[in-house]
Amino acid sequence: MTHYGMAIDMQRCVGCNACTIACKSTNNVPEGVFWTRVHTDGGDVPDVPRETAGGLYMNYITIGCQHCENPACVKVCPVGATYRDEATGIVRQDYDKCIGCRMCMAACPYTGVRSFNWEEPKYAMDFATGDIDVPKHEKHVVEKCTFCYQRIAKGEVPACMELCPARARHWGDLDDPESDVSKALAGREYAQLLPEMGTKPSVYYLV
Amino acid sequence: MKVEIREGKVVRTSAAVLEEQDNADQRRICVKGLTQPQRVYDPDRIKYPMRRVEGTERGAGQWERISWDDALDEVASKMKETFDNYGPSSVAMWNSFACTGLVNGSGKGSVSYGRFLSRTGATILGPGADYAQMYLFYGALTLIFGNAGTDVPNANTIFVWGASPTDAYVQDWQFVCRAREGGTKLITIDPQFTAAAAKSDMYVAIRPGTDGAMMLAMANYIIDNGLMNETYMKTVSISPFLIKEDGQYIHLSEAGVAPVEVTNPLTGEPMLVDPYMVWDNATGTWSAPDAATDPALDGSYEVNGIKVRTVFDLTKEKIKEYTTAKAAEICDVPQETIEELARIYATEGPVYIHTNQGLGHHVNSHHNYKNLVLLASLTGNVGVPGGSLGHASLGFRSFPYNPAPMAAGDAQNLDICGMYLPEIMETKKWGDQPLDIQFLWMANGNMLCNESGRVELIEAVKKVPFVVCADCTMTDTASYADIVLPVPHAFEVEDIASLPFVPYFPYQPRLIEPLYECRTDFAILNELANRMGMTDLYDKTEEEYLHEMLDTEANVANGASYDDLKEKMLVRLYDTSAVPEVDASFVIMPTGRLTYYMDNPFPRNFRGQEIAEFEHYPYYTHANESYWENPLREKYPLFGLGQHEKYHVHSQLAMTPWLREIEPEPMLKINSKDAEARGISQGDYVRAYNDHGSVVLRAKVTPGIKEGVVSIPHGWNASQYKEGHAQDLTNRFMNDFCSNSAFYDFLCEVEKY
Repeated sequence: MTHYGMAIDMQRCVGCNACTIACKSTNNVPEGVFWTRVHTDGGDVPDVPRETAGGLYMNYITIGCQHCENPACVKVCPVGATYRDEATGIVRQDYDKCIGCRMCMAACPYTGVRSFNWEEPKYAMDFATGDIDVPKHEKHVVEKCTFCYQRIAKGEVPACMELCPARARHWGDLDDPESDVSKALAGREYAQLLPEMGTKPSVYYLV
Repeated sequence: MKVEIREGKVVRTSAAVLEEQDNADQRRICVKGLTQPQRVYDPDRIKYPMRRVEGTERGAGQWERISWDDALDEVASKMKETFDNYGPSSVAMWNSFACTGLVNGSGKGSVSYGRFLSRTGATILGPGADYAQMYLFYGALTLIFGNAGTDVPNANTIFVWGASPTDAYVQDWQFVCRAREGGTKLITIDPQFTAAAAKSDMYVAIRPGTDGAMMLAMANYIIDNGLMNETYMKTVSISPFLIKEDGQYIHLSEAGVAPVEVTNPLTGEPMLVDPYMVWDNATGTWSAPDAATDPALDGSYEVNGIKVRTVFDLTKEKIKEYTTAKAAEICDVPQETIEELARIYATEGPVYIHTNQGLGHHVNSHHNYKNLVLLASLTGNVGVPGGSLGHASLGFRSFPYNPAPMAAGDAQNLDICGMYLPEIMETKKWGDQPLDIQFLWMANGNMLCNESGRVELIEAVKKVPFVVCADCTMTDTASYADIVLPVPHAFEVEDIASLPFVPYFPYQPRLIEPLYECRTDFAILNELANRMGMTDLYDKTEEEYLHEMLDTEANVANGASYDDLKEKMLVRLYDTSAVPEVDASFVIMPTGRLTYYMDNPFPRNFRGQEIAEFEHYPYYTHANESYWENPLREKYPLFGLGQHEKYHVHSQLAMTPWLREIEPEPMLKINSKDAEARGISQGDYVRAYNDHGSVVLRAKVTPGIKEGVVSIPHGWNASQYKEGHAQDLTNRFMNDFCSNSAFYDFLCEVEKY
């Protein structure tokens, strides 16, 4: 049993959105859909700081599915379309089973990490980009970050992890103290998103 | 880069996996590289040759599709007619920095254009952008590229000053991160609060265009407080060299020592050496620099009846008016902050000043680069581990090849900055020489989007009787042509770039067939040459020329021939000794020293203009428009500025769908207080205007730009603004010494639209 997780170093992340595009390209994510996105912790619009007593403040936080150990989405899915894969700890979404009820979206405390395809997915180009083994995006289903499951299955790492120019991401088995992610967490102070919700995310933020 | 192809389509780009340590240090990609599949299939690709519809205005966007034969016949006959009737210089080829391919790049640095230009003698119009830094640091003053990225963690302090490692050069950021994790202090000096500023220990919001005054004030503070590294000044910098009253260096021959003949280590030929001179305090007389025990830094002396003084002595006198108090006023930065920066730079080294062309886009900009070298010379912050001026990713800038195929004749070309086109079209002269441009070929750049003074440049282009543009996409520049010719994306062409940046040969295989009807610059020029009777001009194929350039004896011996590159694609440079981790390239300049003084300052584009005395030494003068006391501020109170944003390679990715999902349209950054005073709210459409022109776009209201400053975005097409164009606010006025496009040097007012 493996429990994959990721640690994102907020001292390194500069909100460049390379992860966003690596994800879209690798997973052929349709127009208007983002499996991971960059939020500016600062002012009211992207890349803008806020004024604080200590001067201007701005930081970035990248947010996708948190692949929770205790996922709120799984509990509410009436058909078992969203489930936690025991072999990897990855929270997955089976498009064939999904009935589009969007209960998972309502239950997930991490707003925006799941999206519902109201229409047939649209693309700028008439062929699929990215990995050949990415499941086809479908109308009337919910989709989200898969931790690049197709890559993990081949012993590779998620695209956002691999292609981060700042080398801000760490990946691996959270249960293995020798993994890159475990070592990154061991040496640093970290935070998780909404720990009070009891979801036990597998994504950590090094602060 | 790794490019994945499926069923003939580019489906993914990522960073190539490199050898061992290179994977940690050199493997790099940014958001722009990751979007290349959509760049290949960009919606604004030009698909086939087109002609402006007869009777429509240039720039009106009315096109008719024509065949290649029709296009080539028309272009060739116009070109031949122009050459025959008006002479070689009447055909001008305007290029910029878009492609550096040895076959299909631009100007005399490519086989395609180089052979054409050297045979015909056509006029070369080059870029204006970036020349303040490039002219001074790449030869006119000294040679400085910057220490390698892997050296950045050796710095005790990093100044981000005139470059953006978190936006424009994000590949450098990981090295800054490594340094910070080791305790390095990070300081950002920028009118805009960038992501680098947000991560900095100290952020200094300076007024645009005044950096040079701050540099001189820092230098004065270092000198006045005895914070200099005198050993470095005496042994590495130009400081003790003696100059005569005419500003020229004095040489030993003028004291009666005959030049000695030595063997030139580069050519093996004999050459005469007449050493420079210093004053040796140990002996109380003159000496060759390397023979002196204690070279004098200060003072005036007499040698053989000739009055001389040290370079440092002159410099001190020339810069002394720029006290920290005076710079505080000019830069709108507290005096104590400037003093702290000076103290840190001198005492908390080594300091890596991460700088590039951000300090180069005002009319006074080129002085900044002399001033930076002065600062480094006073403190020993160049040519040492962790001490550098530059930006890390320039590291590997050349590889061995045979340039012979780039020339096919000995015709002389007038080679000047294209930004002079308006005055050339007005006067029909270049200096005293007649220059009647009748035919304009635009390629390898989007000058009418990215260079300053767009309104004037467009008017000048409209005066040229016949205009052709070869490009991959329908740029603002292409839209003003009579004929547009489609050229392929880099993935559709086999070539090798001239700049590797990483320690690998920058070989580019042809990955997919050219889309649509695209043809390479080489193929187009070959067809034109044939039609114009120059059937022998291109006597080989593109592949044969690549063989000729790459198959040098050394490359073949070291497994880096054309066939090797084609087979392995990723071949490491076999000799990286010319690019050590610590950049001390300046020693190959004639003085052998770190130089902030020019004995013979010579302008980039000389046409008889007077050369000011201050071109010799570190100096500050106000920018053209962008300075506080400018009376024009009564009408246009806001300082203009721009930024090279993270989602743009100039205008190359303007239409790329994935990027436009993240950043749908251009926005003008305005300080919250300035916005409030004008009744402007977040996201409102605003009109920015001045006497040059205007632009309508949305406002990004932020405390993250200095009060009184607005920043226009770089790299958007005219069609993406509600009205006008960001470069319509800028003007064409250039510095006459370095001919740099000064697109940050403007004032404006902003109102709610």
